[in-house]
Amino acid sequence: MRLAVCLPQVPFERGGAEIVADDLVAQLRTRGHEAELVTVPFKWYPGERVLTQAFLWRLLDLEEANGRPIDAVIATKFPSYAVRHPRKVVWLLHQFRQAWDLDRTELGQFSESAEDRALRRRVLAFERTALGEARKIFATSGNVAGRLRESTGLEAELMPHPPAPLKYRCDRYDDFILSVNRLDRAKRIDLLLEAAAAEPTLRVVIAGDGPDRERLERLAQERGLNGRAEFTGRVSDARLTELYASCLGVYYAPVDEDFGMVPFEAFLSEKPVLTTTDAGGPLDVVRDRETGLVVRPQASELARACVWLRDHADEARAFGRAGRDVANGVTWDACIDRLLAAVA
Amino acid sequence: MRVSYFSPLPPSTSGIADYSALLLPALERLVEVELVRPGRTRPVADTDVALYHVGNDPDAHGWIVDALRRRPGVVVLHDFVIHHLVAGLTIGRHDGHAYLAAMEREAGVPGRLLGYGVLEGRVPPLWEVRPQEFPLAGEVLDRATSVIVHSRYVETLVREHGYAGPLHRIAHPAWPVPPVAPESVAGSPLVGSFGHINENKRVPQLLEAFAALRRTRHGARLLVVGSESPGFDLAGRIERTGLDATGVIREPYVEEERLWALMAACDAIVLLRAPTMGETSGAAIRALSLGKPLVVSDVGWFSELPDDVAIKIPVGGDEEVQALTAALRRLADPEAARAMGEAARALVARDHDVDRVAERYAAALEEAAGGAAVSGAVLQEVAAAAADVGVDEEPLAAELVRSSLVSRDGSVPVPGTGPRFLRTLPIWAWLGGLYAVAVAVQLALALRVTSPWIMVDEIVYSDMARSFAATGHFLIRGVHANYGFVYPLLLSPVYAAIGPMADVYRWSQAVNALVLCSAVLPAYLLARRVVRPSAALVAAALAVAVPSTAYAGTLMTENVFYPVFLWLALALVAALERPTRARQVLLLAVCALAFETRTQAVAVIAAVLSAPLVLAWIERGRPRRLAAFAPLYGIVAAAGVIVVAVEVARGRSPAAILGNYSVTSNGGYRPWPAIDWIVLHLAELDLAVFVLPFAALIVLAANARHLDRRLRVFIAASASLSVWLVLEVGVFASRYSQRIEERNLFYLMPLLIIALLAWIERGQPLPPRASVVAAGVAAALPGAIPFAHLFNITAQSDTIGLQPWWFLGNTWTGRQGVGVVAVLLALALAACFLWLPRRYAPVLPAVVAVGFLLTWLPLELWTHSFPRLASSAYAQGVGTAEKSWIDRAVGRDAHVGVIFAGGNQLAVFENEFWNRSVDRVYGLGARLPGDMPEIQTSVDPASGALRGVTEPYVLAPTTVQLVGTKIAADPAKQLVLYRVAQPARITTRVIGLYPTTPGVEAWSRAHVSWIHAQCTGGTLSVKVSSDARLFQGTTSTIAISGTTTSRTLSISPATVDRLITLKLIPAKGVCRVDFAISPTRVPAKVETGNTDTRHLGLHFTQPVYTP
Repeated sequence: MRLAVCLPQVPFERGGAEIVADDLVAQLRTRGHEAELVTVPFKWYPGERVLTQAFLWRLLDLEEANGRPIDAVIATKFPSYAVRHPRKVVWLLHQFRQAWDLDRTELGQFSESAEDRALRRRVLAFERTALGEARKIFATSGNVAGRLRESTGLEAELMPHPPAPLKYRCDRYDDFILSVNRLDRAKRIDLLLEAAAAEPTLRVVIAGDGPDRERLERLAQERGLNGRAEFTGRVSDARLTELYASCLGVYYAPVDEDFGMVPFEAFLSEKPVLTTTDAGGPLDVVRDRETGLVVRPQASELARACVWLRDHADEARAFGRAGRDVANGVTWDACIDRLLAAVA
Repeated sequence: MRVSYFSPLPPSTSGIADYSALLLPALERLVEVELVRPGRTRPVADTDVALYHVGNDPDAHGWIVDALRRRPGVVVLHDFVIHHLVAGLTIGRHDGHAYLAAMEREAGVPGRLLGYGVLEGRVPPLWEVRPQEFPLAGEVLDRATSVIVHSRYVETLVREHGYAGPLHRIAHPAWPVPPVAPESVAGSPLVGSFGHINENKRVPQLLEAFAALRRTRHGARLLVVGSESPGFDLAGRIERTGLDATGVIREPYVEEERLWALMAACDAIVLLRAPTMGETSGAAIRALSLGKPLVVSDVGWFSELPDDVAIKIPVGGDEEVQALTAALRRLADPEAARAMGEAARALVARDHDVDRVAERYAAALEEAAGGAAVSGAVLQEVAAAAADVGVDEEPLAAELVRSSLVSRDGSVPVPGTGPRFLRTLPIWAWLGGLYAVAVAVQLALALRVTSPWIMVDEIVYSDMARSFAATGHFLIRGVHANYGFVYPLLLSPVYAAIGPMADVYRWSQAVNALVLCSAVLPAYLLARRVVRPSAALVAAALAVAVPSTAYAGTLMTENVFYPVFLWLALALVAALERPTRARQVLLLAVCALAFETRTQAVAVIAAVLSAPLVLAWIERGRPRRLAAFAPLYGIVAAAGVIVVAVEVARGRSPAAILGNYSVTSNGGYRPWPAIDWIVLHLAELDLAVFVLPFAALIVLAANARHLDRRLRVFIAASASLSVWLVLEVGVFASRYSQRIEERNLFYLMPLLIIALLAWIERGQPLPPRASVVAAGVAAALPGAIPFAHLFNITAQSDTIGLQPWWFLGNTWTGRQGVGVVAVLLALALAACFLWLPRRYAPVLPAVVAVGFLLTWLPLELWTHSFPRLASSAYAQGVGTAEKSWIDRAVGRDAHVGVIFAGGNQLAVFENEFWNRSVDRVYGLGARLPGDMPEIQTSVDPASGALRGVTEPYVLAPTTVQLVGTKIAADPAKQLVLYRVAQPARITTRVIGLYPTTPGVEAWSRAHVSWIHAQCTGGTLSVKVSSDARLFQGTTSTIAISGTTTSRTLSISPATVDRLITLKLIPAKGVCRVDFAISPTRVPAKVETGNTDTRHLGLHFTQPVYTP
C-alpha cells in the first residue's frame, strides 16, 4: 500500500511524536509498503493562527501523488488530522490540549476575552469535525482516549505505540533511580530531585536535555545533591540501554501525560517504573505493586517508594519482569495490522 | 467573559426561577455572570453577551422581553408557545395594535382578524383556548442572536418559524437529589401525579385508568399532588369514576422539600399533558433523578425520552386510557419499575448533569459573544492568502463553515444566500448596468443646467482647460494657475477637439457624468470588503444617488474628486488590511492624484497617516502591525522634507505647496468658532444622509474592537477620513467662508452608507451605551443647525442638503419652524435605528434613498434649483440670445480684453466663459471678486490711453467709451465691443452711476464724475430727478465742479428731469465735471420691506456732450 503518515512539524523542535512517526514510516517500509512522512510546519499562536494554520492541512490533496493514488493516510496529532482523505485513520498522540484540559491553567493559551473563549470553542468544533471524519481513531493511551471522549464525544481504541527498537537488556539492579526525559517543567523532574533531597541515601541519574535543565541543575545544587544527582545530558542509544540495564528502577511522572515510551523501555529492560497518581497515560501500564509503584505526587512519598524498591530487590525484579510481559505485547506487527485493517 | 443574565429568580415561584437557581452556580464557574435585577430592562454595561430566559408567563418574563428589545442576545426558549406572554406584553399594556401586529405576523390577515375578535370580546382569549395554534414566538426569535432550546421538538418548531441563526439544544439540568427521607405513604404500588390538576394534564383519563388498575390491584393508591384549577371538581370526578376515598390521596401545592419526599415515596410517576407548549417538565427531571419510572404523554419533549425510562401514552381516544391502564399494570411489577428507575438514573447522569449543561451554555454564550470576531479574523487571514491568487473569499467561506472554522452566524458571507435575481447575471453586468443608468440620469439632469453659475470656480477650470488645450500650459487669463490640474486636464481634450463653446459646455457635462458615475466601481469594491454583493450594489447605487452628484451639471473639480476619493478610501482599506509595500505605494499615488485634483486632499493625507494608528488602537492587545507601515511614513516624511527644502530654496513658504489655498495656512483661526463650525458641519452631514448612516458609523466605531477584522479596518479608515475631513472643512469655514461647506464633505457619504449596510448585515447590533449615544447624537445634532440663518445664496451652491428644508421653510413651516421639524424627523429616524425589527432592515437604506429623492426634487425643480440658478446667472450676465456673440463677431482665435469698471460682474464672467476670444480682464478703478488674475489699468489723462491694454478688441461698458469702431454690442447689458487702434484710448468715462437697464435713468452714488479726453470745449447736458418717497421732505443739493463754472443746485423731492447744461473749458485737453450729491439715502433703511442697500443720490440720465 501507499501510505502517508501525517505529522505537524514545529521547526527546530523534536520530541516523542516525531520519533513515533519516523518509526512508523520505517516499520511500514520494512513490511513492504510505500510509506512517506508528510509534514507541515505548525504555529499555534497568536490568536486565530491556531485555526488558520490548521486550515493548511485542509488544503492538502493527499488522494494521489504524481498521478498515483495514495491508499490511506495515518494522521497523528493536531492539526494533521484535518487532512482530507476517504481512508483516513488517526493514531492520536495529541489533541490541542490548550483548548481542553490545559485551558485556564498555566499551560493554557486562551484568555478570558469573548474572542478567545469563542476561539477555543472553534478549536474544539474543528477537532470534532476533523476527527469525526476518520474511519477509526486509535489512542496511544487511555488518557488520550478519555480526553477525546470528553472533549468530542468520539470513541477511540487503545493502541500504545511500541518503544524505539533498541537492544534493551537487564544487567543488574544498582542503587540509582533513572529518569529518561526531555527536561521541561511538565515532565516534573523536580519532584525526583526533591525526593532525593528528602532521602539522603538516594541516588538519581537524569538523562536527557531541555529548556528546564539549568533550573533543575540549580535546584540540585541548592538541595545539596552533589554527587547524588547526575545530569548526563543527551546520551547515545548504547549508553541509554546501559543505563536502563543497570538502574534500580525508572522514574516517569509527567503531569497528566498522554503517553510515554519510557515505561515500555523500562519494562523491556525488566525495570519497575515509579510514577504518580496524576501521571495520566503511564497509569495504563504502570500498575501499583504489579509493574511498578504508583504514589501521590509528593516528594516524601516518592522518596519512600524509592527506598522501598531498593530494600526489596526481589519485588523490584518481579515488577520489572511483569512489565516486560506487558511491553512484549506491544509490537509493531500488531500496531500495523490494526492500522491497515482500519483502512482496508 | 461577562454575561448579563436575565431570568426570574427565587423567591419567584416560576419553574424557570428554579431552573436558574440550579444552573447558576455551575455556570458561574465557567463564565462571569452579572445577575440582572428582575424588572431592570436597561442593558448592562461591560458585558460581552446577554442571556434571556423566556417563558410564557407575562408577569415573570415580560421585563425580560423588554430588555431583549433593547439589546439582542442569546434567548433560552423554555416554552415555544408564548402567546400568553405576548398577550400580557400587548393587551395587558393596553396596546391592542401590537397584539394585532403579532397575530398578523403569525397568521397573516386571518390572524389579524382573529385578533380583532379577541380585542372586541367576540372570540375567547386565544392564549387560553388554542394558544398552540398561534405560538407568537416571532418577535423573540427576531431579536435573538442565538437560541437555546431543550428539545428536538422545539428545535424543529423554531426552524420551521424561519429562524436561521445559531441554535443550541441543551438538556434540562437535573437537580441533585436532596437528602430527604421518602414520606410514608401507603400504596402498593403508589402511583404519583404531580402538577396542576386540570383537563390538559389528562387527569380524567388517569382516574379512569387507575380505577381499572385498582380492580386487580386493591393495594394500589394514587397520590395526586398540586393545585386544582377552578371548576375542575376533582372530588366529583373521583366519585364518578367509582374510586373509593382510600384509593386516592390528595395533596395541594407543596414546598420543594416535601415534593421530593412525596416523589421518593412513589413507585411510579405519571406526568401527562396535551397539548404541549413545547415546555420541558421540571417534575419529570426530578422523577428521573430519583430513579422513578415515568408514564408520560407521547407529545413534544416527552416523546424524546428514551423508551427505557418512560412509557409513552398516545393522546386522545379510548386508546389513551387503555394504554395508560396497561402502563400502570406494567409498572406494578417491581422488577420492571426497578429496571426503568436505573435507566432513568443513568440518563440523568449522562445527559442532565448540571455541570455538563453549564458547559454547553458556556459554549453557546462564548460562541455568541466572540464567534463573529473569530470568524472575521480567520476568514480575513485565509482570504488574504486566497486574494493573492485572485480568489474571492466567498467560496472559502462555505468551506470554512463546513470545517467548523467559522460559524453560520451571518458574520461571514456565505455564497448562495443573496437574492436569486442577483445570480441571474454576473456581477460585472449589474455594475455595468448601474453605471449606464447612472450616467444616463446624471447626464439628463446635467444638461438642464445651461450656463456656469458657481463663480469663480467654473471660470477658473474652464480657463485652465481652454489654455491647456491651446498652449499646453495651465493658465488663467494668461497667468500661471495655482489650482489642481487633474480636472482641467480631463476637460482639455473637449476644448481641443470642439470649437463652439455651446458644444464644449455640453460635452464637458457629459465628461462630468461619465467620470462622476464611475464612482459606482470604487463604491462597490469598498462595500464588498464588508458586505455581500447585493448590499454592495445598493451602496454603489446610493453613492451615485447622493444629491451632491448634481455637480455633474457644473464645471467643478467635485466631479473628479468624488471617484478619486472613493478609490483612495479603497486603497487605504486595502493597505490597512495587508500593508504590503506595493499597496502603500499605490495608496500614496492615489493621495497624490487626489491632492492634484483638490488641494483639500491635504486632510486626506493626514487621515491616511493616522488610520494605521487608529487601527492599532482598535486592535490593541492583538499583535501590532505598525512596523509594516514604515514605507508609508517613510515616504511621506521624505516627501515632506523635499517639499520644504524645495519651497525654501525657491524663497517661498512651505505652505506655497497649497497653491491658491496657501492663505489658509496663515492662521488666524480661533478655537470656539472653529468648534462651532465643526459641529455645524457634522450636524449637516448627519441630516444630509438622513441620520441612519451617521448613527451606524458611530455605533460601529464605538464597538470597533468587537467587530470582524474587515469591518475593523473599514471603520479605522472611515473614521480617520471622516474626522480629518470634517476638521479641515469646519476650521476653514470658521475663518474663510462662514457657511456649511457640504460641497467639501459629501465624499464621506458613501462611507456612511456602507457603514449602515454593514451594520444591518451583522444583525443590527445595538451595544447598550454606544447605540443610545449614537442615536441620541444623530437625533440631536440637527437641532444645532441655524436653518433660517443659513438659507442664503451660498447654500445654493455649497449646502445642497439644506434644499428640502429651505423649501419646507418657505412653503410650509416658516423658516423658524424648520429646526423643529428637522429634529422631529431625526428623532423618528433615530427611533427606527434603535427599534425597527430586523426583518424590516431593508427599509433603512430605502429611507435614505427616499431622503435623497426629497433633496433632489427642489434641487431640480424649485427656485434654487441648479437649472434655474444657471439660467438666472446667464440672464444677469448676457443679454443676447447668442451666447458666444463676441466670438461670432471677431472669431474664436482673436484676442479680446474686457474692461471692468465696476457694476455687473457676471457680465464679465459669463462673456469670458462663453467666448474663447476673451482672454484678458482689466480692472478700471474696480476689481472683480474671486482673486482671478486681473490687470489693473488706468487712463492717461492727457491722451485717454488705457495703460497696458494691448488687445485689438476691447469689450467695455457704455460708461467707458473708447476710440475705435463699435463692431458688436449687448445693449441689454450696456456692453460694447470695439476694434481699437493701439494704444486703446477712451473718449468718455462716467464714474459713480449704478448700472441700469437701457432707457431707465441710473441712480447716482454720492459722487459722479464725467471725464472726456482730447476735449476742445463745448457743453455737457444731463437731466436729474429726485424720488419723492425716498427723499420725502428733504431737498438734495448738487455741488458742481471741474473744468466748468462751479455752482450748487438744490433739487426738491418732487423734481423730475431737471436739465443741467454746463459749459466746458478744457484743461490740458481734458474736460471734467464732478457732481457731489447730498444727502444719499439707503432704501432698505427708509422703506419697510425694501432690500436695496445701495447709497442713492439722484437719478441721472446719460450725460450728453456737444462739442
